[in-house]
Amino acid sequence: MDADDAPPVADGNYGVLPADMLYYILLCLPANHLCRLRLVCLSWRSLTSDPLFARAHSSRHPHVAALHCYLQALDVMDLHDKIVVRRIYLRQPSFCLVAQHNLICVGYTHAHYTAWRRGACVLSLQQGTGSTIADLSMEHDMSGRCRMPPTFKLGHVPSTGEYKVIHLYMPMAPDNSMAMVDRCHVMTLGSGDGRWREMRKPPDSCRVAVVSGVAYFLADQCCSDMEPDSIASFDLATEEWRSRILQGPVQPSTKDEVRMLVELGDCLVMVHHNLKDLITDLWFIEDMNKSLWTKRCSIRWGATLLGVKRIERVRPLMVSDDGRIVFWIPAGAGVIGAYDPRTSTWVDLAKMGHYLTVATHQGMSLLLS
Amino acid sequence: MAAADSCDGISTSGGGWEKTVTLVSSDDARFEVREAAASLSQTVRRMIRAGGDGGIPLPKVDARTLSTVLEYCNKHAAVPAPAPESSSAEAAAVDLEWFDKELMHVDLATLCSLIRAADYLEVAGLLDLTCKTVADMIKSKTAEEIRQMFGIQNDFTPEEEEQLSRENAGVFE
Repeated sequence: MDADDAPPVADGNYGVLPADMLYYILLCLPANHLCRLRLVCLSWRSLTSDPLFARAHSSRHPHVAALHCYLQALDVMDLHDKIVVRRIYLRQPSFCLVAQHNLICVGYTHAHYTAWRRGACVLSLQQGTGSTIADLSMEHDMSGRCRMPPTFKLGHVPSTGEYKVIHLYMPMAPDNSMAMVDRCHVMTLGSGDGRWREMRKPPDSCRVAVVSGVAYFLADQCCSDMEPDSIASFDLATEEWRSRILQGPVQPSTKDEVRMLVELGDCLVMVHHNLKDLITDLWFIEDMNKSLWTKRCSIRWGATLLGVKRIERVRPLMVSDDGRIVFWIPAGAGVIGAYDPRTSTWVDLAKMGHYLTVATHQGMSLLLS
Repeated sequence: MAAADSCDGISTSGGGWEKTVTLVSSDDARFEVREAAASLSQTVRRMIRAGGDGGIPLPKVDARTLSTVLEYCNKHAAVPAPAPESSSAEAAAVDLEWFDKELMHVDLATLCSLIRAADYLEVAGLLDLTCKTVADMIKSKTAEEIRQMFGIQNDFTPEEEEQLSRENAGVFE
């Protein structure tokens, strides 16, 4: 009834700054400063806790998580202000990094007496300094040597709100020949018995991307039971393989190419590096049922552009609001740059220093709410 | 909307007399400005398109603030389209940065009226510049210093304040 009779505090206590101006000003500040500003007064706190504000802030201040080469640490960086907003020291030397929403998963392998201990730590930045929410250690089958370090993926199941971790393990066969992926495990975070469940019959693939609760496995070329370049899908909610096999956008032709799957803005994307001609193509899936892909971006690296020699390590991280695609380029000291497909122009966003690997990290701004 | 947005680039004819427009502040001061400069304000640009004689009224901006806004617009509209990697473009960028810095050497009250004017006139560059300036002033200050700066009451209960600072200590060291 008395909708016009707003409570007196709603209008006031902004001092000389009206609320809309304050909004613009606070958007300029990195998340670590914003946190402190919540202490100023109720209206500042409610403004910074507003989900709309958080969304605007995270689109203006994209964050990445980066694993340091020398320090045993993980840095969360604000690409807009080019600063480290948070540094977390890790318990073990870690080598792989994946992130989903506010969670970060780092994989580690280290010698433990006579065996190798490996596993993954899942960190949540919301939890303050003691931020490890799960340490998923796997030390029971350490006899064999790994063909390569284990791969971990982190996935969100939209229907249940759960987070699940996928673990891919490629052991070396006793005769030292190259072995296939022989085990693949999945675990639910935060609930259940905290046990790894084995996935039946995984394809031989360590190229996996998780999009909207489905993990996509791109078959390796030497794979026997699947066509090369085809993609199997594993439903994280039911933990079952889907019967439909997706076809990739490009037929495998020469050896001078590298393909991988990534998630970009809730879309499954195939990255296709042509190592001979130094071209990187990004194919976005349009229709899962028809295996229909669109090439939205094609980058000719050439000799002049950044002097990138090993383009197979270049990885897209995110699509910004203005349609530019942000890449991690681990050349030299490492650069994060944005490529505009419409103008074919390139802008450096941040010189990264010495980082092993980088992943998109959403949700630093969401910490405020 | 799409039509208005599509002509973003301001073309300067490179010397010679240019078309001007007259802007009228809230306190009836009249400013004659080059159209290219005035068009940095999306609000003014729309009003120019709509037509009309006798100057464009800007009832929400006083003369003092408007003159600063126009100083900004004149300077920024004069800069030619950037040709990257040329030394003159680099020098122009440095000069512009220095000009912006100088323009922001004003007190908080003036900054606030500039933000309000930039918001109303929709001068994106100036809004960005002024907000960043205030943000930089805030950055290194404690909550209490900010309250004093802006004349804000602390309306938290001691318990709430205690809890908030505990939460913050966890999130950022």
